[in-house]
Amino acid sequence: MEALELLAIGFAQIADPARFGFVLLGVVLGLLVGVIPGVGGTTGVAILLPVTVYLEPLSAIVMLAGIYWGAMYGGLITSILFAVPGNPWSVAVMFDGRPLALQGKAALAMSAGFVVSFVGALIAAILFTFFAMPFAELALSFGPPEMFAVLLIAFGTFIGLGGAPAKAAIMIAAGFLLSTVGFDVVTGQPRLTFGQIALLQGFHFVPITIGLFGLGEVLYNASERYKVQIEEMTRAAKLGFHDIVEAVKATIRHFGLVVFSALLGFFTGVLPGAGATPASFMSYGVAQKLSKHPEKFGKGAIEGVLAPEAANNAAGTGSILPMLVLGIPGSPTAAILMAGIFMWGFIPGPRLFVEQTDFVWGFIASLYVANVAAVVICLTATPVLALMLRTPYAILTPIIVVLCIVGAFAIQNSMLDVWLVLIFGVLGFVLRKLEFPLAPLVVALVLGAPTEQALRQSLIMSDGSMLIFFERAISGPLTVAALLLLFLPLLQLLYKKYRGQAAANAG
Amino acid sequence: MRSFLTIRTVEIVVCLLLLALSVRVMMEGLRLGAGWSDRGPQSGFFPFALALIMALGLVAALVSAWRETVTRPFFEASEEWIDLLKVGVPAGLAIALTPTLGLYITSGLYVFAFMAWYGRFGWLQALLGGLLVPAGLYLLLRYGFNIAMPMSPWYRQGLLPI
Repeated sequence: MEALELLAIGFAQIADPARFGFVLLGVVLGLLVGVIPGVGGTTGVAILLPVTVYLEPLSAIVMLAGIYWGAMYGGLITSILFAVPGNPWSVAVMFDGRPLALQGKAALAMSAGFVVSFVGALIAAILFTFFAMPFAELALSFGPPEMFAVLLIAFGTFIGLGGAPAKAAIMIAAGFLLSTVGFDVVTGQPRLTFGQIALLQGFHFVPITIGLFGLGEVLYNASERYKVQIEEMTRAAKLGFHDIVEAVKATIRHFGLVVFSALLGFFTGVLPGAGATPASFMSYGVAQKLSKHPEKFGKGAIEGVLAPEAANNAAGTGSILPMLVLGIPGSPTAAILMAGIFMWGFIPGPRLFVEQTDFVWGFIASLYVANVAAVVICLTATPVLALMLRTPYAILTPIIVVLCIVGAFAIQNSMLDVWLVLIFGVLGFVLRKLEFPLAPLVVALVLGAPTEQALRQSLIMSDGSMLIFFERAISGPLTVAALLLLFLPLLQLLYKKYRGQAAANAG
Repeated sequence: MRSFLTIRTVEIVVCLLLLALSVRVMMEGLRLGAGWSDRGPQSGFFPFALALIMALGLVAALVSAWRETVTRPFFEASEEWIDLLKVGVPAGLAIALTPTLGLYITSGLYVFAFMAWYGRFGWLQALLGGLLVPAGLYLLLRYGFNIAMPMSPWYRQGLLPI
């Protein structure tokens, strides 16, 4: 097996003590970030990105990815104990995790969440291992039209599967527009700078991400703070050996559901643009439909914890695949990791698999290592993690804000970036309150330049004819699929109207 | 004041502001040339098309917000906006002071003031926090990673290491 040999090379890379240390450091930081209210995994990765310039690439990526994985585990602690989901993908686990906690079974719910997160991530890591090479080989044959079609799918997914099509479209367009500020990549003409010289260099997406997800989250949490009583619940955070055994038993009892959720999660994650959040909701819905006692859902059914956790961890892993193979991140966190790969001097894409075998497979091997580390730490050290929650808010908040400033300034030593954090922090708070999705904006901001480039190159190839996207063997079906996704909400609306009218006529 | 500041009102205001912005961008797109040249789309084509998509989305959002009959207040309890201001204003001040006072002095003052005022810590504890946080940052950024941060005017005169 070619994949297994390559994986062995990867493990050899990770066996280096320093790199192994960085995996662990990342996971621990991620767990802390996931537990501490006010910083999500995305913020954690964004703030630490500038620091990684000084590390060697493999250590850097395994540490940053470790934060992502760790945050996935850590997020469920706050979801279950306080009903404060630290990340959007931890919302679904709250539906049943929270009732379980109120029934005094918080420890069981958390251990089940950890165990199943591990199983989900492991399944996803195995799929990743075997899908990576064929996927990369396919991607090598991609030209600009195919790239454009895949990018279109990413945006289609946000609009078609995101739940709020109009708002998703607004955010995508806004992210795109922000990415066009500065010099036009093709003609060199300055665009949308409105005469401001500072805007000529364009917007870097890291300060905007730190603003939306970092400061925005700090502000949002400040306004939600009065609802949460942290002190009482931290006592429930002790996991006994008994709970872990029960959690493993529950996972085995519902193993079919867990595997199914993980598969669903992985493939939703791979779909560029979808990511972990829809995956967790979808698998929660499926679990409820398949259950013999759907009425127990929302009142503390263990399946309601197992399914979304397996799915979101698998989706997190899956969302890295299109980023590495195509340079198309499926989630804001994957987008930041991609920015990192550029900073470390590599270019994400299929060539990476050919030219940087050690880097890619070292990273894939780290998926296994990081998840083993995360589950072990979670099952043994949850009380310590929960103790972090007792860190006084008045100390944590200024530290988070200062770290946001540091992260934004360090990326290109520009004070403008620090102001961007403030502007987008306030904007992020308001948009979050109004339930605008923030992920599409960040992903569109990152993908803006490559999308415009792919479109323009395709049109140069075809002398300006749009038909090129439909005529080619691979881009044709992809474009059709993307258009279907884009227009799915509109089709649903029309269908509903039609049904409504038919019903009215019949009645 | 909370009775009229509803999610719906804020949504309508935000949508209108963004709509104005997208119209402005469309005008800019037209100025740059939003048509097709013999080498494909002109510079202003993308901004124009995107601003148009954004405007369409905004109109859809506006219509659905307008039709909303049941709406929640933007702040459900007065604690929400009081806490928001208590956390947000100092954070904004800290960001505003960073260019003039430098990162380390600003962060020290910020941590100290926020701990003492918002957290009701004792003066000594707050002072300790205000010294330890910048010291830790300085060690990490200056010696750990060698990343330059904004410095105070006294640094430029050679009076302070920060």
